[in-house]
Amino acid sequence: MVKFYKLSFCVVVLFFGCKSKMRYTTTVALKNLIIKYDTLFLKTNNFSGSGYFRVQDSNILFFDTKFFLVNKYDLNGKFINSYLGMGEGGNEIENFEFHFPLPNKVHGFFCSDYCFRLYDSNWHKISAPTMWKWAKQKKIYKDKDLSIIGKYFLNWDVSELSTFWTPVDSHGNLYMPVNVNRKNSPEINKFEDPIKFYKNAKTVGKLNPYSGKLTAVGCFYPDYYNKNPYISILSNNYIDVRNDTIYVSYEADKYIYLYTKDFTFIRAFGYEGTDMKINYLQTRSAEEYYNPEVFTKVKKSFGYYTNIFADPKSRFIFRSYTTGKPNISGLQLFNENVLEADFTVPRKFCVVGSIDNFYYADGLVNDSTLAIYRFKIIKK
Amino acid sequence: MKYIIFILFQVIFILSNAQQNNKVFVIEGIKIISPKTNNPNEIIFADFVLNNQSNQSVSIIEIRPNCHCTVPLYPKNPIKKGVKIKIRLQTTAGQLKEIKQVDAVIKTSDPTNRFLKIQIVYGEH
Repeated sequence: MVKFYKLSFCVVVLFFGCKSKMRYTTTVALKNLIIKYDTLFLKTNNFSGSGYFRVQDSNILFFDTKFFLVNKYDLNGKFINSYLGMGEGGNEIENFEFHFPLPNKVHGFFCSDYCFRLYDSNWHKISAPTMWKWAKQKKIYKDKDLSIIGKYFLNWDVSELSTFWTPVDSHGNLYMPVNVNRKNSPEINKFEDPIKFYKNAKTVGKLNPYSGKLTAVGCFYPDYYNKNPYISILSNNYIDVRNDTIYVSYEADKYIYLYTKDFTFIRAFGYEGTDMKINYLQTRSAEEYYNPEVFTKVKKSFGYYTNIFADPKSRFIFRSYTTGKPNISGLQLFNENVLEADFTVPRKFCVVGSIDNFYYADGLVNDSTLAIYRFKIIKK
Repeated sequence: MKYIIFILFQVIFILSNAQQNNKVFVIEGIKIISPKTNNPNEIIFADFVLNNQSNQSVSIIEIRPNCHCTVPLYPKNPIKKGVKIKIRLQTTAGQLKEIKQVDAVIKTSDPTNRFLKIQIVYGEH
């Protein structure tokens, strides 16, 4: 494995899938790159121990998902100010899960009560909450047709390593993982007829945050899940958007899939992470899937891909993965479809942006620590 | 040299206590409980102490648990300065065993410490 890193070689794999005519192009050209990171510890007097980071306009933002505060820091980690916080006032927010930046410096939030909430650049509430139109959906579908948009719900089943990344295209559309709810679609879901499900279900939803409407669903599950339909715990996906191209990565599949914003497939590329434990535990029923002990065991004991970041300032794509070992994860660096490096990093190390010459990765967050990683990639 | 370091530590200790003493805070915000029952519906609880060391009365505006299975019990009157009160967080044994921890966010009127977290963590026997 060490030799693997030392060698610079090229493997080009090109093949055409018979059914979907998908093109998979992967080049591996490992360069002699190393990652040099430091840990920037942040101080705050009001912090719950849960949340995620963003970098924006030369600042680090921490979104506290229990206190619903947004804490702002400078690039040296010095606390600047705190915004929002749990409440119903004009400068507060009832709750939030996902944050996304909209055009005109508007802050968008998707919240656990299925509402969108929008704030201006000074964190003043702009509009009344807009309920996600599907939230009250009670219809039970008796058929197995997975092209019906009404069957799809947002996929809340995010990994503990998630950064709640919610990309937006140039028109302000959001892209989020979707799934078919087994209550509304009892005839076909991940547990009932999984083979047909993974063949026909779609995985990414396009939402309008102003109207609260799910306007389209697209991106079929990769062939990997057709061949392995009993690893539902690791069937989540991670999405990013760059120049209106959608990048989708799945937990158990090594490929990254590219689509236009209308969900037309462009191409796929990818390469296995290093030392990943991938003899996944299978779950054949909903009971097994929802068993917290089984769920935790799968998430902690196996290697799987997590966040993807398509750097808007370069051609780089970063993808994080776990290995199945407690504190060792990986970070792949692709230059378009070329794998240029595969670094060893701490357990949660998910790239969320860059400022000047540094990239920033989320992060070290627990009851007693709040820290973001700051790194550079340099030649050996 | 040792004497200077000792004095320095004393100053830091006094300053950190002074900072703690100017606001409202929870003494021991995390409690570990190992339910000794096999009945998943049995109510279990933990008591937390909220200490108002700020310079004014402080009100609890809201206590919001992370799930519907958890209920906070607390006095609704303002807490006078220098006074400690008890907050009880209760849940069921089954719920705690399943999700391993429950918590609640306390929203106070103290501008220096608006939010506090209390938490019950499941402890294995």
